[in-house]
Amino acid sequence: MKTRNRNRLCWLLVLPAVAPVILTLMLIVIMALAQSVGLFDFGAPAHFTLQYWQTILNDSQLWRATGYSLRIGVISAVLSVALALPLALWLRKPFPGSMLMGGLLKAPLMVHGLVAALLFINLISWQGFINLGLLKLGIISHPIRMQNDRWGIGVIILQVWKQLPYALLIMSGSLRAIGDEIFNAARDLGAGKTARLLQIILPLSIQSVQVSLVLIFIGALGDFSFQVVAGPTSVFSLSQYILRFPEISAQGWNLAAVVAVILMLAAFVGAVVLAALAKWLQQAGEQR
Amino acid sequence: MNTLEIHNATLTFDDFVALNGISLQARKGQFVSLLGPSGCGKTTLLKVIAGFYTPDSGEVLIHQQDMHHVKPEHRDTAMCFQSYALFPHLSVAENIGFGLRQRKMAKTDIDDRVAQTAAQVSLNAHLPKLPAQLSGGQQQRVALARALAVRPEIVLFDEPLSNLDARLRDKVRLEIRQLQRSHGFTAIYVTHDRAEALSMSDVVVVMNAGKIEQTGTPDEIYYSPVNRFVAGFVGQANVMKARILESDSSTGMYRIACVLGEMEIHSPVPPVSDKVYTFWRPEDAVLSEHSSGKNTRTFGIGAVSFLGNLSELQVHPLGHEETEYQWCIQLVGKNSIREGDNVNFSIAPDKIRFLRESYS
Repeated sequence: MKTRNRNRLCWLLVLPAVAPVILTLMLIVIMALAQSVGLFDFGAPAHFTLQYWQTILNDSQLWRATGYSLRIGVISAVLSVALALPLALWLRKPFPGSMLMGGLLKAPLMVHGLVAALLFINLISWQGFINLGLLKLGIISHPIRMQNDRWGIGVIILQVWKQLPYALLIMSGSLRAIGDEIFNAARDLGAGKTARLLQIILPLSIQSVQVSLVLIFIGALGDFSFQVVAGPTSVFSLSQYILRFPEISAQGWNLAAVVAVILMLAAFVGAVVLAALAKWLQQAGEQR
Repeated sequence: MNTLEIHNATLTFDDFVALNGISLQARKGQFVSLLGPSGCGKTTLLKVIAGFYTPDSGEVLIHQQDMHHVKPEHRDTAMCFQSYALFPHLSVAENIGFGLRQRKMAKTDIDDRVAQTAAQVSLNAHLPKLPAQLSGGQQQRVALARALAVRPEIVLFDEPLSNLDARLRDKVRLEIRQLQRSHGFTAIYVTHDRAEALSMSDVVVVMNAGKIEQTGTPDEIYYSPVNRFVAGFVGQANVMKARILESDSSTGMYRIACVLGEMEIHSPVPPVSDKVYTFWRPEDAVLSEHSSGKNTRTFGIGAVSFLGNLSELQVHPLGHEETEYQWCIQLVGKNSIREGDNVNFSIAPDKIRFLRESYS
């Protein structure tokens, strides 16, 4: 069979799986775009307008929410990957207890985010275990505010706790694929720990690092449940911000669509920037 | 002065004794082969020298300096791995220059050394390529060049030819030996291929079950093995139990009783006891027109294999078809001997040799 015909056959075979995904995605994007410019409207005759965009872009809360969500997304992604990489390296080769350790680290995958957030509140709330413990030990004289803190540290901790196992799963595979002899060869040629990390481990696992960063960033950027339970009360996340509008009026859906498009754009741009940054850092490290 | 010395090195993994009291020396510029079957500890010993494993007891000295606390990255060794272990994301030039970068050499010096080393292994045209774009033989050369580029005192080879086809193996074998002679580094070469060990080495170390069975020159190992294991591992050996009937140590003449009847042995080395194992090599038997005579016997032919340059005969002494006496005789070229024939062979007295292993 000629290569061209074989390629066509391959495309035909994967089409039933790929087509619904692409069609649904395109439909959602097109609908959100159409809704944001009034071409699709629940409460009024459809007509093209930039009024909704104007309203949203002039709202200072949008920029605060965007900045906050981007910050949570970037910090959560970077922290999760930074913690998962040494853990994946550590668990790369089996040792007594490594399976138990790997299982414990992946346990958060089995706990729903909202449940995790509620459990986490028991730890960090005004009367939570941490404050009670610190008070009893005499380390603090009055409780510290950890829940709904203004910097979103509670949300970041929750995000890292929840997302780290994903990064661990993704990176473990690519690190295991690097044979022991590659590491030994690098050592044998004089590469110390830092050189091995920068010149061998990162270049050979950069794709899994990029994938982990992007997936965690997108998940954290659009977070709702952690933000509602543990996030600051002074600022919305983009997901919270979206939900405000449909409650106001029928036209609120159009305003929400604008925020949804902005959220999608932020996710896309942020993911590209993070992936590129990871690659750039890897190349800079390799040149050292 | 010895470049490398290992004294009584022992290493265990849980209950498994990987190295058991290994002692070894290698002089500067010497080519030392570690020969033995799979799992005998030869690669483990190589990794102990490289520093990837630390022996439980004993010591490793390089230039008389104890290596116990010296990390692999700080030892004056370079290793050629069985899988080549080339860095897949780096070009051939970057692979060769990797060790030089770690030594913080100037870029121009690195480029010069890379070009020079690549030229020695005929890789100049492939410097910008990635390892995946090279053939097995070329990848092997990159691994060799990468090790040589850092100009180590000791190069450790871990079965570097095992992934190459037979023709390429012969070619690369010669190249490695030539490079070793021209660079003058000490080579520690792990192999389970006796031809490789015998043809390349100054010294062969035969290992078995974590121990050194014998250390010697290729000649010594082949012609004067200490026991049945070494005799059989470095070549085909026809082993016979022998009882010493008469001995004259002044002339080195011995008369023995063995499965072939009474035979004469001329040996400069006396037997270790009255009941001792002896052996002769397949190429040591020659066709004889006579059925009787000194050391001439009739053998039954079990099978004949034509190998091109020689014919290999599976033989047994007449009346002894048991497995223990299924021996091998090699004759140059093709001949008319067929399976089931009875053929006379004589074995010269100096071709039957005593092993330093007795039986009760």
